[in-house]
Amino acid sequence: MSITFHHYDKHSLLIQWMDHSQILAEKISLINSLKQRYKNTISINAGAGEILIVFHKEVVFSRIEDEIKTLYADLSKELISSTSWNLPMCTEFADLEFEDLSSHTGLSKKDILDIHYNTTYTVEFIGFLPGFPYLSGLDERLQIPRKKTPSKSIKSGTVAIANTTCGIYPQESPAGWYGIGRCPIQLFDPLSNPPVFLKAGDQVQFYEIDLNRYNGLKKSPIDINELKSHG
Amino acid sequence: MGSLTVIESGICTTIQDRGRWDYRDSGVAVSGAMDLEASSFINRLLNNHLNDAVLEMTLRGATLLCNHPTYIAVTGIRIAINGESVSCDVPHKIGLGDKIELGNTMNGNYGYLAIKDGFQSELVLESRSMMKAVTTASQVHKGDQLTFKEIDKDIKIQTLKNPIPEQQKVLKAHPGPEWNLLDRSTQEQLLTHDFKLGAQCNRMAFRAVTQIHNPLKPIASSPVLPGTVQWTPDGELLILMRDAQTTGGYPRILQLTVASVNKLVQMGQKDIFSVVII
Repeated sequence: MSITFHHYDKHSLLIQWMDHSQILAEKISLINSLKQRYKNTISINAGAGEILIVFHKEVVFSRIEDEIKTLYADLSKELISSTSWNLPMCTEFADLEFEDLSSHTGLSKKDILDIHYNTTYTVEFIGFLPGFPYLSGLDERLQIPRKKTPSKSIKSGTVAIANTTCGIYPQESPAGWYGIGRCPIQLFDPLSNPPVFLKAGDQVQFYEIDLNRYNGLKKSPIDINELKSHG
Repeated sequence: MGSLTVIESGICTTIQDRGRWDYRDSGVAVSGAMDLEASSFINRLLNNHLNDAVLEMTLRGATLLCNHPTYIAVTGIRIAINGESVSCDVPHKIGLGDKIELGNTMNGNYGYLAIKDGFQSELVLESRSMMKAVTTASQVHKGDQLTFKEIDKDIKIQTLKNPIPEQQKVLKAHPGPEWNLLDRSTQEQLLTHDFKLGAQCNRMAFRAVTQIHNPLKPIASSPVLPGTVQWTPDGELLILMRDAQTTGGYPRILQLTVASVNKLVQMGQKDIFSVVII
């Protein structure tokens, strides 16, 4: 694998991988070493196969690119630390979109949910909205294109799928993905640091709860440490 | 702590500093003043830090009642103090009971009011810029108290010249990550096109209509910045602004310079602009 650079603007450098598959560990390690190397002189975020670095001051790209190539060559091959989470999800809502999903996939609601609950997803990155996790690992049988025309509004907490990805909407939003359940856990808390407990590389598995339990968790949130999987 | 009471809020009035850059990897938008040149200019007039929080007003301004003496300055918007019109771009001393009426914006969409040492509204994730789901309020409302530090001495009045905005509507851009996926003739068409802004321009994005066919397919969700020009399958240019999402799936064909973004945010639907690559 190798990386290439694109000069995004005078302050910003994009690091790109040609092939997006199997790069997550590498991408996370590189982000960690970039943060160590440049500390608070940069702002950084990631997308599917890219890292964008915004330097707070103008820089000489040729020198920075050489530095990053060295960092990249020196990445340790050790596994990155990650956490496994079990997230509760309730499907007792009328606005979920199993009918559409069934007509696209030929699977019943029960089949769809069985596949979903048996999938271990991986957090690729947080993007789009505050706290929105892009989860890879969606089973091929559930991969359908996103809606041509996004729906006006999807409820906060909706677990939704489209293309090859599963996500959780942390706030009410227009949505091009299909809702399959609702998670009562607050994904983004602006008063915490970091404001998002999920991080790239973490594993996520969902489990079913009933409406009663859902309402209980909305009313009195549990400590997120209780959502960590010890299995 | 001094305060201004909001009697009328205007159309879309927010508190903005230069934004929060360090939480993009949590999906948090940058936010900050739409016209950074204007917000810097009035902060400088009051000897403030450039990151001090100012009031950003859209098309029509707020009406405010002063509860403690201080200094203010406004740019790009009509202002009257106690019913009497006063000048923009100079500091004004205001006192207890003074009524400050901000009228229509004058040079575009956004006008700014700065206060000595900046507004002291809620600081969330190292910024006071108002943003849905991040700060408690996403806009200034009637009845709000906008707090500021009390001044203990008079300030030296600054006179600075507001740079006259260039009339020429040519925006400068860097080629975006997907620019080179376009063939020569499409690139040429984009660079010779006269663009007009469409409806639905706001702090998240400005839109410009094109009749040019977009041959590019959507991309995997990738990082974007304020000033990123995305091209949608409908052929519309989506020019991302301060409150834009942190990643997006439309091809990124251009990246406007900060100075060009400052220019664009003040344009209206009658203006025509073109883009040149630097």
